[in-house]
Amino acid sequence: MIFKRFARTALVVPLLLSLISLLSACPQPPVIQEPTVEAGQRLFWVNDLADYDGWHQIGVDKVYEGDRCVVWVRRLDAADISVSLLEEFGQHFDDVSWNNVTSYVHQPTEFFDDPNGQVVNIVFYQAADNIAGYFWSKDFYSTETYAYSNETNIFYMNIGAAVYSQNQAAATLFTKGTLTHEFQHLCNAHYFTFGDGANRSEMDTWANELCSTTAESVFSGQFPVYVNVFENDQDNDFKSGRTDFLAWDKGTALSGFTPYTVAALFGGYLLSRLPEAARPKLIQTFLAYTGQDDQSTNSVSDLLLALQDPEVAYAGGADWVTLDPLNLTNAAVATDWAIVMGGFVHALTGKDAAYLTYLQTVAPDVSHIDDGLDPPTLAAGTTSLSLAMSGFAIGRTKVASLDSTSLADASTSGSAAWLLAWNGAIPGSFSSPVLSSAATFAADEFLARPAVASPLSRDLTESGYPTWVRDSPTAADTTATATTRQLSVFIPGLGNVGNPSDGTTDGHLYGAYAARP
Amino acid sequence: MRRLPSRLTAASLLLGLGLSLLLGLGLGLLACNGCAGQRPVAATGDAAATDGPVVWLQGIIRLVGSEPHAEAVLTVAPAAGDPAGVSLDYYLTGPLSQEAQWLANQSVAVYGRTRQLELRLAGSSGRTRLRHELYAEIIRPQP
Repeated sequence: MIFKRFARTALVVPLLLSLISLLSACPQPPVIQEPTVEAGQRLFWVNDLADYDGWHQIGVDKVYEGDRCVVWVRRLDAADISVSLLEEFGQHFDDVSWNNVTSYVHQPTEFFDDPNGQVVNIVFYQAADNIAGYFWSKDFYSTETYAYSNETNIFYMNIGAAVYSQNQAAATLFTKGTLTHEFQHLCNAHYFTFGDGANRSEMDTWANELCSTTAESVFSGQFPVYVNVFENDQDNDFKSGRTDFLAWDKGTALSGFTPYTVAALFGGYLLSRLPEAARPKLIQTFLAYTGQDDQSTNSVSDLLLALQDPEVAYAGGADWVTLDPLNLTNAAVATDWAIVMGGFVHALTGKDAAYLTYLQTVAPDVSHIDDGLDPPTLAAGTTSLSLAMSGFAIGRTKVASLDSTSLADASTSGSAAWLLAWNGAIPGSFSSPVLSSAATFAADEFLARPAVASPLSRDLTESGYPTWVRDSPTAADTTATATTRQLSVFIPGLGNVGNPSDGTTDGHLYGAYAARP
Repeated sequence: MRRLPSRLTAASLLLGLGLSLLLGLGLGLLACNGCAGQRPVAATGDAAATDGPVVWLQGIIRLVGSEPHAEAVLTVAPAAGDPAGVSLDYYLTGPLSQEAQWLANQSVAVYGRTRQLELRLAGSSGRTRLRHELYAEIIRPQP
């Protein structure tokens, strides 16, 4: 009896362990029987299913067919999302995303003989990770080129992000932003594949994401999402200067959502510095300068060239150096980039009236912006700060003179001040694999942040959040722009040589101080 | 691509933890050769490819395209004395192409074989798109 039990155990346990090991070590894809395709249904290739590892053709049903989109849902995941919600998303795309993104970015002209006509296919399914949605330009190519191309205008949406039982209103708002975000990527890629930018260099990834986060924020009401993420700084990125966005999420310990937050707030800042009539021109002009026959080889200088274009008329101030696209110098690009970066970091303190007014106009439901932004700041006791290229941080300190540009002037006495620090190095200006510059401070030079004004419990729905807000600037917005207080941050060359850098004498760290109430 | 903010990822984290534990049970069998072919990457066809020379090229590493499918390119500026010249993007391929992404915005020199492809676009138009590739064998930061 005992022997029999032992024998059975000895047989079963190794078998089970072997089975578990085999399954975990070499996960064979489960057999998924996708329903056969019938009239009104389609098959699309995806490679990030929650229940399958690898490329797979999913069978999808048409749920919504509008003027400019067809919304599909994977049949095997259809029970996870309601038809009414999918219809709401389709309606949002038709009414908001298509109209605004095609007007402000680029209108697709190639529809690949799609059986549904001149539409964008939007596919909802349960995707494997925390991606809310994505666009992939391989779908523009023939299957002879990319075997898994779907050969149509298409982007992909994760049902896991669109459905959130604890707060469906917030998930719905967020997903509408994702529709506009991914559609900007599609139109952007269209421009460089079929439009005026065909066979020119594409935008840097950070710039492409800047266009998407700006579009979703302005047209699909996402500024409140990003303002809340910024102020709460749950991942401690803003408090520690892990804010560099030029390398996107490569090369630093950036949290996944932080670069999107920085890009959205940066896009809003740029728009707030433009005359109202020029705002619709920003992304189009940025696209037009990208990959041109000039000496600009990256999106930083392309953006600066776009900003100084008369169509855009960015308010750079008296210290702005007019760039010659056929004779670009590092010093000139660095000077203008410092003006843009310094102004942006200053705006994040909440003391830039034009920025606040613009956010209030585009997202009037963020009522607490009336009192200014509440920026996350360097922790009290901070003694060192390391910033990668385009990284920035804000500290609460004191300084003898607000005109100082030296980080070493942060003090325990003097005027109450915001310390604004950023790494203004520009792409191609240095080659060290360690892309950071560090500064040190005395232990008591930074003051603690007061209690956070917008606690995590703050919810988008608590203030009766509308489904979406279109960009309709008012006269008050224009007036406020004209009376903007300018932050003087002219620092010649590649940073203030008095500030620490990565071992070179020309420096990359910039410092500025602004009066703190 | 757009990621989810932290508050919406708790389920993902739990799922990740569960998967990690499951993988841990797999012990040393992770090297199973049977897995190799299960993550096919969409690859460029080379029917219209023309192999070029093996060269050293200097330029800036850039990331282009949208996440999560961004690619690393080496952008080579016009030669000195050619102010109106055109910069050229070489899409990096080979084992170092992923590592190159971590060198974004830096000046580098890359050694490898170039090739030019004519990629066919979808639809009945028969349009194509030129793409220059560089199979990266060595990448060196440049001063």
